[in-house]
Amino acid sequence: MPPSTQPIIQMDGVSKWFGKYQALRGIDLAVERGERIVICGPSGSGKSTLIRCINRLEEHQQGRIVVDGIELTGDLKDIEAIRREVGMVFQHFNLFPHLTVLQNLTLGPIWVLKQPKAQAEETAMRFLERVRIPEQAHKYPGQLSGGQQQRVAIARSLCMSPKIILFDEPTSALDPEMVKEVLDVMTSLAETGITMLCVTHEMGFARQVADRVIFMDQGQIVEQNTPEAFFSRPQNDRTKLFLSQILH
Amino acid sequence: MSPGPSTIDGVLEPGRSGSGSAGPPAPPPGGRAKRVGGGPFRDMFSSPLNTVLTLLVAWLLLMIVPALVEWGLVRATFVASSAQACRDAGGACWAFIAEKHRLILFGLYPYDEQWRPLVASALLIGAVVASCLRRFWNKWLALIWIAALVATGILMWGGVLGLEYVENTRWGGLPLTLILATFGMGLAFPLGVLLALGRRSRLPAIKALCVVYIELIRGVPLISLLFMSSVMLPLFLPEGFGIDKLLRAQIAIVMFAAAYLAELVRGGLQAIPKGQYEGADSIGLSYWQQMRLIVLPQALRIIIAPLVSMFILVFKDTSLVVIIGIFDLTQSAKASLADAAWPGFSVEAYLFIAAIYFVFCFAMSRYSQALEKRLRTGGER
Repeated sequence: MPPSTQPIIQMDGVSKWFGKYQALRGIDLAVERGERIVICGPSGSGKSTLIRCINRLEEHQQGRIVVDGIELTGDLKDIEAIRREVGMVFQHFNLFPHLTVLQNLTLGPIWVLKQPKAQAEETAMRFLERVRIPEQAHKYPGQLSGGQQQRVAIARSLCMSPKIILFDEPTSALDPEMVKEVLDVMTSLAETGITMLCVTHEMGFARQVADRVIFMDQGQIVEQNTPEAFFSRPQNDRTKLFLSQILH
Repeated sequence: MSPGPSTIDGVLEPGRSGSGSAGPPAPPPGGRAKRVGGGPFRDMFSSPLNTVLTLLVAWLLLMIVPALVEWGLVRATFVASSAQACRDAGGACWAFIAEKHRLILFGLYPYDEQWRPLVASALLIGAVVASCLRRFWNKWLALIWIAALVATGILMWGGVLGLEYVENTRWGGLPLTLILATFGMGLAFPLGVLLALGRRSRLPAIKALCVVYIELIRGVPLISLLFMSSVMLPLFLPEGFGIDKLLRAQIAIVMFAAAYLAELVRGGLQAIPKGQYEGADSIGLSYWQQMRLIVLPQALRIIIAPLVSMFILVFKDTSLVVIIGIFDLTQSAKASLADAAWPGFSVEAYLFIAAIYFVFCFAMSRYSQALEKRLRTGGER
């Protein structure tokens, strides 16, 4: 079977517990290549845990996760292979404060992809231009605003040329006036055809960019639909309640 | 320290962050501003208690300093051919140091060959200084160290290149102290880092091993470790399989320092937020890459001050090898007192080596402060 017809992410019956607390309850999800998915839901619904299972920041205990043809098991080689293909952007950026912006960007390409330094820096500068902060290349993350740091974080994950990029509430820790600059970058990224999974409460972004919106509650996928249908005709009562709370 | 601007900033800081973007900062309260201009003497008499303390300290200084100057400089003897000349003057006998400095600095090393430990010491100090300079933080440093160590070995032992062979039981004084300290720190540091990482390992066997090692070694004084290495270790080894006494002492120092360093490094590791590991995971770095590129550089920077403290301790603790009969700087100073022609100048001898220890320790302390300042990246979170 040619890989391009398979879903790029396939989750079957994935469950996850933190101690006695069950964070994910039998998640079934297939993500197509190039698909842009927004995941929303109340806090504690398991949406962050779900995407963190995809690159093994969290380990699932039941079910099966296959990413681009590689099944996630305990095998370190497989995990590292998957992480090379899956980029991630965090709520708190997680940039490396002791390295300059440029060094943050070239670290992965140089050490993981074994690129020559000059090539890695060239790529890094290209992505810094794409997120519109090439002039900050030689500063340290601590010298940048939150919005700039998050754009650096996006550029950092892009430098690894991932097939999939995961966003874990990328705008939740930002001051309101900086949300837009990050969303703009994400929107332009969506136009490149990369597979995106985005946990966010930015419903404007979901409407504009997503192919599919997933609503989670209590560790389950409660409802999923196109943004059009999801926002105008929510089926489930919990979805309706959630939407009424966040859309005011 | 400059009392001016920093004090003003300190006073304003809470108000500024509290009011957000409330416009330009308010001027400092009048009283504060006046005190800033007062200089360092203003606080000495600012309250009855401070006045009393100031007077007390002034009185003590008046008692001590003139007497010290009188003894150490005014009535001191710098050049004398015999101990009697010193005694007649009544002050410090620095002529004793002039007479005995070769013995104190180089111990029992053959007198005519003492240029060799001198050069070796200079090479070791040079290599340490080079390691401290940022411009050498590259591949050259490894070469510098290899060259320095090979040269030191050749110079100290000899037996090649026409140099007379000198057994290491005849080594002594400052070079020996430097060798014990340099190798002690140089080997204990990587070992301590590995132990700290091991103690946080997810593999139970490695974790247990590291915990047992650290707790065992930390629970024993260095003196008893040195005794054990010198007395007990030979009992366990097969006959004829003797490890050199100096090497055993060196191993004991390394093992001891590594256990303490491990706990220091662990403290630094615990200060690194989980997000740093996740960020490193997300770009696919392996465990060792994460440690080397992300975690350790940050963790070690946090612990620079206690780390250098530890190095200073190791440097001074090398003097404990005295108890197993190794002739380090302290022991050679003691030996210099045994000369019947120059009896009773222990104060001068110990002041001399104290000054030597101080120079090295103070240099390390200053370097740690400079390093902390240099490695500060803007707007540290």
